Amino acid sequence: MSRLFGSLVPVVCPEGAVRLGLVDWLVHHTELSIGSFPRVVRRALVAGLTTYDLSAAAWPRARGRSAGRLDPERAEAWYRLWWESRLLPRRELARAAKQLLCLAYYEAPSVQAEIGYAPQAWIDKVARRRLEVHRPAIERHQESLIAPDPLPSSLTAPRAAREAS
Amino acid sequence: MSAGAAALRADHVPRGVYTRDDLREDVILGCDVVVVGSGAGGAVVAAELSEAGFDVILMEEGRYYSTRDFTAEASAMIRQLYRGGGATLAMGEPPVMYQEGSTVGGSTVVNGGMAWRTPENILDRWDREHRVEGIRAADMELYFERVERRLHVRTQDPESIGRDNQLLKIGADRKGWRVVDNLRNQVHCAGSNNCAFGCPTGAKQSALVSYVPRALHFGTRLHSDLRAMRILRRGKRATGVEARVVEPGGRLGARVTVRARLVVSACGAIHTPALLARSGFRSPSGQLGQNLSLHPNCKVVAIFDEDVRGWEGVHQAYQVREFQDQGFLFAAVNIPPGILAMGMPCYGDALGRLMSDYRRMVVAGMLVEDSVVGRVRILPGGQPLAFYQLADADADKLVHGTTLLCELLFEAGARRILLPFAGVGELRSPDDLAGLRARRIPKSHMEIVTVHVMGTARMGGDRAHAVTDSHGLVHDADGLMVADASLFPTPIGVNPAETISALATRNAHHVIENRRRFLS
Repeated sequence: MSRLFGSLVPVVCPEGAVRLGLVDWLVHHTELSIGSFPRVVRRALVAGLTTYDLSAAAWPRARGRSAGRLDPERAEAWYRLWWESRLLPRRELARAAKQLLCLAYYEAPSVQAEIGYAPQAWIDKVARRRLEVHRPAIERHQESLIAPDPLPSSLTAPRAAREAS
Repeated sequence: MSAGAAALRADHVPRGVYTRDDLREDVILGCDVVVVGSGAGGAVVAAELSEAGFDVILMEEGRYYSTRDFTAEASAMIRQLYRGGGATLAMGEPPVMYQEGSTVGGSTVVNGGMAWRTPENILDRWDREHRVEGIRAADMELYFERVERRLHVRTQDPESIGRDNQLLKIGADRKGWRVVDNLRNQVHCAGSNNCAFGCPTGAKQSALVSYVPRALHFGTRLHSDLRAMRILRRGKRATGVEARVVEPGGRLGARVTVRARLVVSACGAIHTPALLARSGFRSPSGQLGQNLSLHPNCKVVAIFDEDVRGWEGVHQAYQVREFQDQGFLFAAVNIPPGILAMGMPCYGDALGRLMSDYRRMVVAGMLVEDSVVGRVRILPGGQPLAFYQLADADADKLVHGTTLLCELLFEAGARRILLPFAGVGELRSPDDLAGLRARRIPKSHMEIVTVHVMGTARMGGDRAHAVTDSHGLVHDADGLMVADASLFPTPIGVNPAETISALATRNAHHVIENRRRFLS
């Protein structure tokens, strides 16, 4: 699947994928994601992608090439055929491929920097501030978590009272 | 700070936790109670029963991760913390993506930390229509109070509330709609907005940092990386659990047999019915695996002129409750760019142009109390598959609610709004809403997700209609209890974690009060 995913990156991801030299990273990231899926989903996805790849050869403009070997213009045209297909499975497969690659794309630190997304810096800042300001309350709560507090028999009181009435 | 409290910090594998590294060979263990699943139900049962002197083994399929493992790397967190890497789907039109945690602490590690009591009208309905004993609000008060105390349920500190939530509130206030401060299980939450990928500060009181440490303190043995294959039985009596160690890559390793007097299934509304069914337990009601409800959610993305920076501030500080009696509510739910991009209706450079506005986006979602039920079927091999067909009425509710949510967001100053309906273009002004209202949107064009899965082993007083009795004990079986959202006879219309924990406390209390019966 690596070759196919590599050929899909310039099609489904924004231009930054190539400009920032992310293609291999995105492919690796995507394969990690697929590896964590349930087996049935993984198999369906691989079967669908294989169909996408090999069936391109029957498309006249591909001149017998699989999708992974098409030049960028034809690769985009072949992908668009699936993205806009009337057949739900083809459409869903195109969306799944885009979702996997774009998830990876926007996880790349260089891409996140370009859109101004810096969550870890924010987390570090507020985590520090939380401890500076609230440490005593936090520790009190942690102590309470192991303090004895068995379920009292009085918990049954409301029901008992209702039954008695 | 005492040494005991120091041990609570989940930044290492604490004493009492056994991982796959500790189980290299087949082994037989014994205890009074074995609990399968360490989330909002299982961890609570384990803590309460351990404190009452029961010998408890708590079993979790996922890994043990600690607070310091949680980062903003969303896809890595999803792979590690979510069942099936988050790729879990209820089949139907439209398919509904559902998500469950698969780690010590269960879904509480990856939920938003909302802590709402079951609405009184729902409890009344369970009492009246499902004959659940002792379930009225007055009966449940002390269980809710106990859970809220343990989980430190509070509204947010004001400084932790981000601009996206402020805008949601501004819009609702301008419309004159009812907004409530969200109640969350948190200790001075800093607003890191990483709830769905594990709280990196430990402020969110997931089971991982609350009930699990408490259970360990009172003697629970926790086994992570252990998949329950089947419940062992002698006739109708559950006698333990057969499990396998989950090795890296999902390969199954050593066989672990746990003998117990009471088996508690708390592995969620998808896997509890599967575990019971593949163990040969059949409900005379025919309801095992039926009655699946899942609070369909959809989201809109509003783009503002100003920098919102939705990741700076807490997830869901408010809920718009104006339409709760119509069965839906709204909240602001910031989503990392990778996950947001997955649902965008375009690709390539068009996607790049759209996402360049990420800093100016407010993601807002709506939750619908569903009016129809699906089911969980068990595939050959014992794995579950969920089926859910969105009702026409609920689809209409999703469109109607989305329209109202867009009204709110335009009122707050949104310039453009992207919708969760394929083939429906973005809205540029409130004038566009009339077109949305008039439009018939096929269900297959709706993008729906959920994190609330409920109802597949419902409780009730009548064994002809319910899988368990009022305290989660499986009808027509002995020594077998359910303690998760499977028990809900109906959807509850609010976030379910507190209801699960309160019911688990109540069920544990029933066991403690009938100790002789369960230990004989």
